[in-house]
Amino acid sequence: MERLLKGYVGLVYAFMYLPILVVAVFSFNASDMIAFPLSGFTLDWYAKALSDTRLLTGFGTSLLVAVPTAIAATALGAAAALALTRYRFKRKYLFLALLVVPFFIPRIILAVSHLIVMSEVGLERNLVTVIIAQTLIILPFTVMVIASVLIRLDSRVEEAAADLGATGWQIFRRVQLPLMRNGLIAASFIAFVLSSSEYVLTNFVSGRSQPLSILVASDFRFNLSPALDALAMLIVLFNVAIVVVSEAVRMRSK
Amino acid sequence: MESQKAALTLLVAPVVGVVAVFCLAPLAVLFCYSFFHVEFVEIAKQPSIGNYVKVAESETYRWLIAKAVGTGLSVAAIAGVIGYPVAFFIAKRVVLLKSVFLTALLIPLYTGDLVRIFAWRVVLGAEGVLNSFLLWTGVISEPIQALLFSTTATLIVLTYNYLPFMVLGLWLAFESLDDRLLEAAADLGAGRWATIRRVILPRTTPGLLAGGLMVFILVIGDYLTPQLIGGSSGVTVISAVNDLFGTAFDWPLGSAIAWSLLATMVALIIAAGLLFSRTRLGRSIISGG
Amino acid sequence: MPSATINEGPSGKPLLVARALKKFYGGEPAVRGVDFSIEHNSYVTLLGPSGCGKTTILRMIGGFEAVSAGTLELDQRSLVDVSANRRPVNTVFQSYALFPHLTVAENVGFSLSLKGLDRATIQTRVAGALAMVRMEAMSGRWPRQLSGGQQQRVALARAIINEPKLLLLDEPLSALDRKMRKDMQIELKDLQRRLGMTFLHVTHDQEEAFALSDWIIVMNRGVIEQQGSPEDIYRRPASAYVADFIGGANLLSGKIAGVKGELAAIDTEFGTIEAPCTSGLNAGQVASLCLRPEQISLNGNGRAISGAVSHVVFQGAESLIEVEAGKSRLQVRCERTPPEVGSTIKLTFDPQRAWIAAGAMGQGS
Repeated sequence: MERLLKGYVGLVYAFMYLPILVVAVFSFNASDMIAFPLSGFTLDWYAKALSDTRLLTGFGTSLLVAVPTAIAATALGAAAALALTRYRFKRKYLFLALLVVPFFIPRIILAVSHLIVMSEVGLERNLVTVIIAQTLIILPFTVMVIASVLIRLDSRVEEAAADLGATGWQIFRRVQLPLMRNGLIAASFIAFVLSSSEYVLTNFVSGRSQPLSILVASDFRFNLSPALDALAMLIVLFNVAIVVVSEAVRMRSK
Repeated sequence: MESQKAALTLLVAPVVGVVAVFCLAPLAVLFCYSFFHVEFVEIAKQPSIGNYVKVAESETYRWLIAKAVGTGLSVAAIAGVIGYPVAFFIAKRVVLLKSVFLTALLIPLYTGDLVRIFAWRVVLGAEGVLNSFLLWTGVISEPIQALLFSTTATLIVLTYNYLPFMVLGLWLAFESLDDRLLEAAADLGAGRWATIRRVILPRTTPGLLAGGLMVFILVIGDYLTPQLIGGSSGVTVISAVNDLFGTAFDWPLGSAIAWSLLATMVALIIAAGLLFSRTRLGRSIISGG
Repeated sequence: MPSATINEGPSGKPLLVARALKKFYGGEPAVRGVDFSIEHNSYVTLLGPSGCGKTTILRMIGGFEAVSAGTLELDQRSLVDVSANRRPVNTVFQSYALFPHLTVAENVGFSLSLKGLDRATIQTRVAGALAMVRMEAMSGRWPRQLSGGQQQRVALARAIINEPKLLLLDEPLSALDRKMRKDMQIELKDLQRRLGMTFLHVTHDQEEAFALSDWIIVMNRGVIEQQGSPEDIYRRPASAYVADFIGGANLLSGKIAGVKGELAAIDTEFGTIEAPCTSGLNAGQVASLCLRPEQISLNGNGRAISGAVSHVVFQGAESLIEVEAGKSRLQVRCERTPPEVGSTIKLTFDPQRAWIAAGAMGQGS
């Protein structure tokens, strides 16, 4: 029974990693065709992906969106996580619900609402609107990461600080901020990853400058090439590296 | 205390403000638009319920909303069945590497929608990995056309996309399930199946519901997966909204469909909640059991 | 109201005075209007079961809970509108609440560094405070590297370094094991004497209260049942509740037949018994005769009750015997070979050493 369970869990994890594994294998396969049998090892596809200037510009635009999004989502997430874990207040559940509403509204519906509002106030679609929309969607994740660090702290540390003479600002600066530092680092990394891989909103709300995710999408609608495998692999590795580092940072906080 | 209140306001206000201005207000505007209509290429702003009548009378839109609900429920059910033992395993059998197991489950989530879908197209395509592998090994002689661009393919990828959410919800429930309860059940003579049916299942139902709710909502909102994996079966109510705001240019009708979908989802969730709260189990959980 | 006549402060007035102090949580009363005062340089305990409001009172004094009604004065100045960080009061928290990102020395020096004192002064005073609790050797450690008892000492040092007028201790020993708790009790009492500081200690453990206090305030359901010296509380409980909570007395309930000065007569199921009584009793009122197990003897002289032995619990030097007499179960100590279970024995007691307290168990007093 126990072995059956282990085997089953292994199978589910294999299912979760199968697509990534396949992409990895074919990004090194020396053939135009993404099909078996394999025909040999090559790094050409990586060279091709990295020399595509269009994609590199897209990567730059991604950073332009992802960095401000990560900062905004982390700052707001820290405020919300502090409120949720360190203070008592009525309607806490309402506040929590408010936080997760944007994440659960279908993205297209959120996107078309933004589109209407922007056309009403006469705004062009631009990267700022992308940043705002993404911040909303990513907020629940940053709240979760930061709250998971804060919730492990003794519920009385702020009271202890006040008891010893600290003002509200001093409590924040000398107790709360240092204690959630690791949470902030982890949250900003994860927000960065989620932002740079988000497609739907970006596609809908962005104007002319096209981030990487949109370029990839338009490419693979028409032609699946191993160069895309290589690009996907690079994105995966980049994202996974960031997530693993941020998890390690988060776990380290005691 | 006063200073506490001030600090709390300082923390809560910006978040509430951002969500109100950039999510709730736009949704309200969308709601207003659903009562307008299009004349030639202009949007006429005389309110009427014409769009909702159109949605209610149109078999297509009714069917699309029903299909969205059906897909959401199916994927939630499939993910529940697949995820249940996994969540049990992580919570009750893994001791040291718990966070590693959880992170490993979430990592595919961080590769992004597009990369995930791209990978599945590579796996499932007619000339894709699975078909060519099966041909190469001689299991089949003709590629299976139905692998990609089918409802099955969509269900597989949707399950793949949202399984981690289900496992997370269940895992939390299993973590709060006291091992001593299981020991007590065994002590009182319950066999393995009796323990599962009479202790484990009831105690983890809230997790199952929470996970199911997340999966249900996220599946309905998924635009890319049915589009890029489902082929001709990939038309969804969401893609209909998208088209009405794009090529078809009927924003008011699109708004009405969007709101009909939101209202249906909310109504279903409330109905499910009420139903659950009237069961014996629901009452015992609400009363703090 | 009674007031301790221990060391009075320079003003001759108590350090802390609470009058009609109340606390509501959304309409639910947690503290229903209590009056008490705390003298300078005394060790006072708030004693009661969980949920009796004792911690709420402590938190109102510390400034972590707003006062709903009533007054709270420290050195004749109202504390009500003073925020926690401005009160000359410090707290040792039940969970210690040490800052995990600061070392032991940084934790202890936290309040001094907030004041902007120079590093050398802080170092000297931190060393002094740590020496007080015998933790000098640990100053560079992190809180997570310390045992529970050590964390407790650091929390104490952190709270006394600023020389507060009043030190609040919220169930400070509840997380320690029994042996450690006994040692810390002695140290706490000793520390209070050496510092000449006033300690207000919250606990649910009556033994702890007796070991430490000059003055005990017994609480139940948001009100004060009785306050007084430990001896007063033990020998002259005001109510059946106090008699039962403190040291577990045998209680025989009945109606008061009459009151004569400091004596009252009570109608129990074993007849009318005359004994010293708490003040304020009236004829017809429900009350209880309290008999401590050590006040009852086997086959002695005095008032007698006979009953059947139902249990014998061996306790080393003596045995505890439970006797069923009428509708009551009485506990008696026995230093000789205990009687057999089931045998009928005669219990005797001296009514002059018994005590009549107001109310009965199982009803609001």
